[in-house]
Amino acid sequence: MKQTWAIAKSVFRLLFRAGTGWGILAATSAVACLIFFCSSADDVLLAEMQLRIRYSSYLSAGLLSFALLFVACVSMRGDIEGKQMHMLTSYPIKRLDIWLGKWLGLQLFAILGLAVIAASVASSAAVFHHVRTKRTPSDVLPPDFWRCLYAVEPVRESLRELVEREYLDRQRKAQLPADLTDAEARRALAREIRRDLQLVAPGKPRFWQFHLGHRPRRSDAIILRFKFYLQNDRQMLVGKWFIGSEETTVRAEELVQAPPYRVNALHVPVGVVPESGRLKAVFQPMEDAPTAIFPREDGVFVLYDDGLLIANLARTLFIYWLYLGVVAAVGLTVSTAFTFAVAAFASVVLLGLALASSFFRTVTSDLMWEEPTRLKILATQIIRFGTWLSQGLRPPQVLAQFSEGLSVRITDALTEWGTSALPYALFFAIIGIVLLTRKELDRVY
Amino acid sequence: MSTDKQLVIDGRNVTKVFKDFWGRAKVTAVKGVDIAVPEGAVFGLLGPNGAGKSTLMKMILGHLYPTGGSLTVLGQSPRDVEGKRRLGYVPEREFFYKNLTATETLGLFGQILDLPTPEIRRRTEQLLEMVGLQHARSRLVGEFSHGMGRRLGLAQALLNDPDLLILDEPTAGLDPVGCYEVKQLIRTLGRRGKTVLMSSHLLADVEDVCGVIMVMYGGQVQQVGPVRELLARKDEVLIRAPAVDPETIEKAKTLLAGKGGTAEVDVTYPTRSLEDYFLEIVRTADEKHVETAGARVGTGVAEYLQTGAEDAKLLEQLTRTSGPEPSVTAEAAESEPAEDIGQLDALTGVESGEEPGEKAAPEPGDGVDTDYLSQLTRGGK
Repeated sequence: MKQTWAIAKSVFRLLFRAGTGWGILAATSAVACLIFFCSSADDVLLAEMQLRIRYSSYLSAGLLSFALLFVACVSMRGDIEGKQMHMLTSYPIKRLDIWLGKWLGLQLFAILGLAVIAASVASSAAVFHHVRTKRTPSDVLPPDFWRCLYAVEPVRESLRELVEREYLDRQRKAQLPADLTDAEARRALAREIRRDLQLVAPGKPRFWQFHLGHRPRRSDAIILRFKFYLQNDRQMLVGKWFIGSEETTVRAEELVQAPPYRVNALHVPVGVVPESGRLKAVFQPMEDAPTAIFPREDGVFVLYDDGLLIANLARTLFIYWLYLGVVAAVGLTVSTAFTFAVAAFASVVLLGLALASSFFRTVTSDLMWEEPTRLKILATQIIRFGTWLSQGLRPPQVLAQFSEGLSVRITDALTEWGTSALPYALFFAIIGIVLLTRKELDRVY
Repeated sequence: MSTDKQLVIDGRNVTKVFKDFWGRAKVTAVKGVDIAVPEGAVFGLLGPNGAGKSTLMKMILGHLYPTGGSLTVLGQSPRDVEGKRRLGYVPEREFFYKNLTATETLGLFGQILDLPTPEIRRRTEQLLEMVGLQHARSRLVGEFSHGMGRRLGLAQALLNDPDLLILDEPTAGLDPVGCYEVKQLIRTLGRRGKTVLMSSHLLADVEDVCGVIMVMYGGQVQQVGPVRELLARKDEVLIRAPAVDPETIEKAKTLLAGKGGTAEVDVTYPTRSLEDYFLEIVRTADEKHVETAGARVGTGVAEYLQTGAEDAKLLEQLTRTSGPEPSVTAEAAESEPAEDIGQLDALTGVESGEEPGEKAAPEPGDGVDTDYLSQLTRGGK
């Protein structure tokens, strides 16, 4: 461990001695401040302050990820090509310890980078708040800004399972369209089921069930947050929410008249939540209400107070730090395997594909539209392979959650993001360590 | 080469074939080399560029892996990490982090060696003094001249007081003072029973310090054996004596001409070596505290590197304060006819109570006979 720590310290020290570390920190800080003051919002989906925090933290953290990847390549490949690795391996130190030491050194730098981003965003927010409140009497901070809310999604069955069940049912009843292949029939079913699940027809109630785990204790109210779409965005949706539990008779009712395309919130007394935390929310639209679409993924949430913003920030930074650990591992491994130029290019492409995976998904679906040519099919397959290869490098959604004032729970983040990212990092780390251990350090004779 | 001693480096039929991307043999850099370096030897590796000596050294260090044969270093595989605890390495160029200072560089390696912090500090201090870099301890290594880098390279290799020191071109790029100090250090380490493996293109350096040499060419061993044996010229004798009058010289010439048949006998006054002359100038300047931005004259061998040798300090003094080392060859001593010794002694004024051939000249790297050395430096026993 002492040896690993010695390597880590030297990596950290060298980053600053060479000026790279200072440059990266200055650049991320500058980007964070610049983006914060350049972005603007109309308070429809997100409060202005929250949106500015989101954009500035997103971009500066993205920049830090790229910088860390580059630094990892420089650190490993620079040592191999500059023969400092020869010196190190002449000493009684396992190459595993060298690899781990480098990773640890990069993680120390990542801590500093995240701290700089947090400080830059916070100071920008403070300046913005000060200037804005001086100019206008209204507060730019959303209500309960200093606290975070834990968001509970409704219990929902997997779409894949629903499709499979429906497919088998229709197959048994011989109701499947004969002109479609199996895959096409499944895709059509998925679209149909998804539409049914999201549609709220006039006069027809729809319900959502939530498992909060326990009755919230930090405040006396919970929040039901909902968002929907209407064909005519100038119309209002009128209906009644019934929130309660099947276990108790206590129930809250609220008649709402809500606009589409924005986040609406209902404050409900915490007393309606039973000790088990099982809650049911029913929406009964009026008979003359328009047909609405409640998005399956983010249409309805129940939120409750989950502590201070600062604690949430610490948890957010911790999860993002873990993510930077994955980035560093990939950078070190790729630079162990390839020359600096190839390593830098390959790792930046991987990270780019991971960060813009949704964009590339759209690109592939566009390429495959109607009857694609062979070239388009080939391009699609290459992009799909790239996005598949980079899936473990996708960042956790903690910055988005944090900027929305939503609580980041470490266990939840590790379950959702960590299950794909951590094995990915472990896989890359093992490959990197094996490569470094087996590597001949010199091919010059 | 001693065979009863334990072998520190033992390689049998060591082969290294470099392959291309497709796995096809591209170059055979080392072909079936047998190398046996006994404990305490100062072993020189010679050969022109591309002879395979660097490849062999890198295999010994575990940087390259042999494609054939077997190789053990300090009784273990070269890739074994624990074996490297007793090994020191000075590469042909200084491969340090340019943005660390000299102290930080030694500190990093000290930590890797798992030395306690106070010990790292103590050794760093002594080593920097030894290699004449005490005034540059806080300077970044990137700002060092090549020679200063070489000195730091030597310092880092000695941090763990290694049992086996591998030196790749140790005197390349060093000024004469540095060369002299490195050679002195190698001699001291050799006297302490440490094993030294060095490669150099400066043949005079190898000849000065190595007891055994191995000459490689084309990836194969061409010659291996003690330096004295390999370099011996049996057809000539060299006699060194204190200054005598021309008449005595003429008598000696006549005597030797009579013994040597028709061969020409030459008697001249010896000159000091340029190295000694230069060192004296530098030492004088150093004593006068003339300012220099570069490396200074080292302060001798670090204290912790001297421990364990009973007569290390005495020998240090002897080898430092004496003039040029005696160059009487073993062959010369051994081949002196008994009946002429007394006559020669009478001519040169040196008393000798020894039997002819009893004392052989010291073999560099194989330990120095203190009595013999004292006798030579005092001019008699």
